[in-house]
Amino acid sequence: MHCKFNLYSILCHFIIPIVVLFILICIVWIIKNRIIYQKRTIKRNNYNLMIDHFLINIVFSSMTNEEIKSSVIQFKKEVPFNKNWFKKLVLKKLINLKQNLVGTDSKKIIYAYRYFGFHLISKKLILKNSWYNKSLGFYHYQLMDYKIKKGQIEKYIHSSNKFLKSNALIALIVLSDERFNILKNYNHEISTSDELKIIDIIYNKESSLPQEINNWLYNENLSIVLLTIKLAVRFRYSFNEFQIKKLISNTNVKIRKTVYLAIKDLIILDSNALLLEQYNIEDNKQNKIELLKTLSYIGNEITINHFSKILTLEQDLDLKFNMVRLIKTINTNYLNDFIFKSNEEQEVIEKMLLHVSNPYLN
Amino acid sequence: MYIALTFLCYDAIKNYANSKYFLHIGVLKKSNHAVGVSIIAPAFNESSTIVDNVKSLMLLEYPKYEVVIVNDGSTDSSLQKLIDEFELIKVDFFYQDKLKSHPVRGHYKSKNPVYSKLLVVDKINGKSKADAMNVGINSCKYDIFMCTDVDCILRKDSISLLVKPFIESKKRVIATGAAIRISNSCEFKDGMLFKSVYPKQYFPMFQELEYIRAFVFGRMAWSRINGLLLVSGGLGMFDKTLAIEAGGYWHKSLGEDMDLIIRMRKIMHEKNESFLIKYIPESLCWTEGPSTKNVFIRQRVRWARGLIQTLFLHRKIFLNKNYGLTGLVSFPYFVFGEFLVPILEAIGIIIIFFDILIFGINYNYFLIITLFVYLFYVFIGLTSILIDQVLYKHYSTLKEIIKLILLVFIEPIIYHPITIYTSLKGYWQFVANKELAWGVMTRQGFLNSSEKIN
Repeated sequence: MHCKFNLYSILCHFIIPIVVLFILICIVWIIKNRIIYQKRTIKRNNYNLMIDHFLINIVFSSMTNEEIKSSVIQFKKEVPFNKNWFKKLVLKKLINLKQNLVGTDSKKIIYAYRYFGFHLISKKLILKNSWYNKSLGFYHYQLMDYKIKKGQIEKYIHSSNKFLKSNALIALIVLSDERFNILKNYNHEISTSDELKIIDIIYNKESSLPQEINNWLYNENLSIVLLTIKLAVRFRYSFNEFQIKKLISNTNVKIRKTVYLAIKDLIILDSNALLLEQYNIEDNKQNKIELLKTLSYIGNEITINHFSKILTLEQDLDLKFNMVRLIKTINTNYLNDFIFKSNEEQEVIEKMLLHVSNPYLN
Repeated sequence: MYIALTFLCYDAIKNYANSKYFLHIGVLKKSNHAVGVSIIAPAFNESSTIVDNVKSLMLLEYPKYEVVIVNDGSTDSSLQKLIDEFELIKVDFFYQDKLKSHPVRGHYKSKNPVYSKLLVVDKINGKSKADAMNVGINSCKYDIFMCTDVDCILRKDSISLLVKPFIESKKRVIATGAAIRISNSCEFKDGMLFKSVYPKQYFPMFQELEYIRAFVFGRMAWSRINGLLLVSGGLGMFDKTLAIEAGGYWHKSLGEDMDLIIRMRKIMHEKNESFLIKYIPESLCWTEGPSTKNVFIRQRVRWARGLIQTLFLHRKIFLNKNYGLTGLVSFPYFVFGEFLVPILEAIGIIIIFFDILIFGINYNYFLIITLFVYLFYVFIGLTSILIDQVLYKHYSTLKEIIKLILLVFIEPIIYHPITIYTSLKGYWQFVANKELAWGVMTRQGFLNSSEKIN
């Protein structure tokens, strides 16, 4: 066809054929992807039971180390172990088993992990260039509790990639003998995600309170201080007056809030006076609310006297509501005889009282 | 523009998939230190499905959340059904109307500790979802709230997945969203999705295709550059403090979800604070799409009115460098790439029509340009399906996938013109200031897998 215009010619002979080619590639890809998925699903369903049976047999039988090894070798001959999807399936099931078995000797699972050769796959992942593969490798080791040389992980805890840095740090805490003492000289920020993961480790693995916890509370890395306060709560380590004074005077809002929560969880009754003073200084509304909640746990008549004086002066309804809750929690009848300046004020407080007294709302 | 969006979308999804092991949702699901989330679901005359749907919301897997159902003055037995099923009693709730709304008649809690995380709020109908949402925000107790519709079925791990960006990011995350699907032909069991089936009815099947393109492709791409102006009302998670600071949902808005996000973004720009709005490519929510022509047209007209209303309301952002990316990129894209497109398409058709009648046209050129536009449109649709299928493999059979591919080819011819018509009708109604006919969408309810078997 004679092409009159330049654009016409480009569209006709270049762009449209390319778009058509892309369309065809997309269609073939989508259909092929679905066919492979369906075939694999059938195969996977067929093998699911077989793998489950095999792994459970290893864990709950009295097989020796050598017997596990020979069973794994035999199993590998009976299944398409050379296929990547199959390896992934077995590894996934092994990890699930390791995660969900409580009170059973998990060493057998680790042996199976080794005899299947998964430790080499994890190692290969770590040696790859992409942060994603490295993270995945660390994740495998961490979940399987598979001890490797500290040096293989340690260098990555200073990586500029936050995902890799985080996974390396958590793996190192889980796998090294030092456990939380690794954090002693850690100068990067520990993110909220890391905190959650570390606390998860504490709940799942047998760990003891780091010996230097007292020093950690004054660490220059504020994220370490935050984590230390949470560790203290977990291990029921009660703070002394000096520590509390130091922590609640921290300029970081999050640290102050975490300390208030910790005092509540640890029920440190002696800190009542300190917190009453702190209430007047605290400038963050959310923190003030946390303070009031904590004081309702540890407070006494002095606390009531303090807040009954400022209750009617408080204009912020959220703070006023929490003051009412505090007073009601410490002394159920105190507000019954309270004299209000106005009917309007009395009405508001009564509504708050009804809320805090309702068993279904608290 | 669309080619750039394709690369951004690919990069966003790759990053999402690669960071799966950063904070595994298994850790979140069992953590005692998880952040609390309030799910707010307004309900208006949903008596046929409300009990099952509330049960479904109570079955979500997350350690710290509450479910706030706002009965928006239903005239059917919605409230009574909730009272009977969940053993509710009226409680003296200290209610503060931080966000203005129609009056609240009462709060209800369950006497049964099994349902302790349920709070039902009964209010006078405010003729808008926005009004009900504001009551929900005023009544909820956690700092992050999730907005959904009571007829939506959520995936069990929805909260964990949506709250993850709030925890993972160092920057302040102000909202998150996820992909929504059409539930019309899906099968459900015990209030959860059992089998994902491609819709069989005319309008829902095209809507599903639209959703795949919008959520997997468009939203992910905009999320990559933090340019999202919209988190769907069907499923979104928000920072409560900022939402209240922004004035909550505007009760007169017809595009309340977009309006809220724009106002939240404006505040963050004005305060000069960095922030993120994240989308995740997972499908977490299944909602019933309109299956009849009239309901479909009414819905789309309302969306179109919502779009023009919101853009008009926030017009001072347009190309305003004080609003950074929002003013210079996202908002102009919505003006040129969303709002103006139906108008330009209609003008184009009229001009071609007159050209044919009066001046005559170069048919070769016309056909080749039309073919190119058509093929490019098809390519974008197929790319979205490809990404969706490679990653998540929704639907059960190859037949459904082939049907989906075929629909991509016919959608521009038999469905797209209807959406153009509804958009123009919506714009016209806005300009003419016509009163909006809300209408009622009759719910067919969810197909239970056991019913199907029987």
